[in-house]
Amino acid sequence: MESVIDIKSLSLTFTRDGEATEVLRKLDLQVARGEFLAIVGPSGVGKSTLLRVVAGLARPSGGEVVINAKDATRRPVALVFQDSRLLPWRKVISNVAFGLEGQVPRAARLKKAQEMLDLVGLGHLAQRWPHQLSGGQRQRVSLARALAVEPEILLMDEPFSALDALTRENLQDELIRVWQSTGKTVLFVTHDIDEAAYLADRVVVLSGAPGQIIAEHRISAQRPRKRGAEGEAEIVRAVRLGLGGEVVTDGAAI
Amino acid sequence: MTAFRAPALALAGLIVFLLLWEAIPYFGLVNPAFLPGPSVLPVAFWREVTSGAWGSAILGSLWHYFIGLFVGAGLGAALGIFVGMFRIAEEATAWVVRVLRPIPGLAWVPFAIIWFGVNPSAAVFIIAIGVFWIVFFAAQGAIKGVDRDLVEVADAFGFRSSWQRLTKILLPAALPGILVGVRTALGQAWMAVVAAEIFGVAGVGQRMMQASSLLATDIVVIYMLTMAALYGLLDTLFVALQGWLLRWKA
Ligand SMILES: Nc1ncnc2c1ncn2[C@@H]1O[C@H](COP(=O)(O)OP(=O)(O)OP(=O)(O)O)[C@@H](O)[C@H]1O
Ligand SMILES: [Mg+2]
Repeated sequence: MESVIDIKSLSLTFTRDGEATEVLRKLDLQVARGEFLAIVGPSGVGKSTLLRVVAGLARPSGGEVVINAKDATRRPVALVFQDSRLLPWRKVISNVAFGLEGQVPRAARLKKAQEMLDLVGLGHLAQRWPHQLSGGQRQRVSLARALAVEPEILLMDEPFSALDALTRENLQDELIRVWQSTGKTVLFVTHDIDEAAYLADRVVVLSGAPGQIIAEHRISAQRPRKRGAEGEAEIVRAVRLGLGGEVVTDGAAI
Repeated sequence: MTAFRAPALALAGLIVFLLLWEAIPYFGLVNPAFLPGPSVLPVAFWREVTSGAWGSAILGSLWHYFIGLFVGAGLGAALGIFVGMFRIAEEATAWVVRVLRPIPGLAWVPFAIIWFGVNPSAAVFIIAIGVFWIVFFAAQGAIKGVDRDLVEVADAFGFRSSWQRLTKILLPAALPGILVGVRTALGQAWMAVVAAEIFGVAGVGQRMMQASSLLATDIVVIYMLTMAALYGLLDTLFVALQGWLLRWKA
């Protein structure tokens, strides 16, 4: 299958005050069209950095990221941040329409934004200000904002990590529903191995300094999946073993 | 009960103040010609209004005030934003700012008169200079203080030109800080109005100087109170506007 993201020998070194930190070294990774790929790894390993390079927000020091977009006229990627990052001076609907500005006339923009809000179940909150939303609602709006630009690739950086367990599970199921109905490619970064195993077709484990891919697990379980099903638990165990003793989930040593 | 305590006390305080004020000339502690009591003010006010002097002085001053404020705050905001956005501009202007900033607005009066003559432009110039630096520093600081994470949102959606950054993120994010500067400027400009008109540009300041040279101290007090009232009104209106513009804040 043709890969929609082709990361070739990607290296990235931060230099600050003459001190160089090598974050990623010669990383290779292909993501197939329509695939749901999760990236897990300990804190500080370079997951966000990797995502930022794919999003075009950071420049690699070596190697390249090739994105094979179907439609070359539009931005193929959209990013969902961990902390939602809604613009507080815009109403919810205008936040969702943000990425369409300058490309789509206003009426069409608002129509599209309303559709996206309906899709994430927040159609009734369109006229609210961001500060009037709960954390989970804000994260949904952030997802709607990314979906509104109809990206071929959705990049998500620990989008649910700040939420309580119940809200997180709801949003995970919602994300799966959106992903299945739109056929997008998803690159999903998370601390949470259970989350990765529940959501993804494939889990890539990043570890070490500089960060490298130390393991890859393909998950073939049928969808809709059941939480904590046998195959899933096995993957979780394998990932934890692979990471050998590093603290990965909220303080839980492996 | 407690809801009325604060306004009741405030009113009582005001009455005591007026009584004391009235008592001082009444008992001859000060010559009434030097300090008119509040009781003579309504009549003096009515005379000043019916003669038309009050209206034209206020109109003249408000005209200087608004144009000076608009020019000074507008230029201050524009340059402050520019210098806040571009490190190069900040570095290039650092010493110029250091030389010009400490010069008090009134120190420009000689040049104002030489360049513009004794006419409204000179008053506008003095007022504009008086507010320029306040808004300049407020705008520069507000722009530099914008959360980089929000700028990154614009980047992530492909809005990467300086203009897009400015209009989509920097300006709205910096607006609260800029408005704080403009509100301070509102008061500063009001002070500059009197100073600028004392040299003879028609307006409240000039009228006050005329009255004081004739020892018409009641007229002087009328204008002092008029200015306090007008400033109070303008500030209230501005705070309402500010509240509406920043209604998105928690
Ligand atoms: N702008 C920067 N300048 C210097 N070093 C940086 C910069 N951004 C990140 N780093 C460093 O790069 C490394 C990787 O950071 P990154 O944010 O990608 O980690 P992460 O895997 O996303 O961690 P977490 O799970 O905690 O979010 C860290 O050691 C971090 O200190
Ligand atoms: Mg991160």
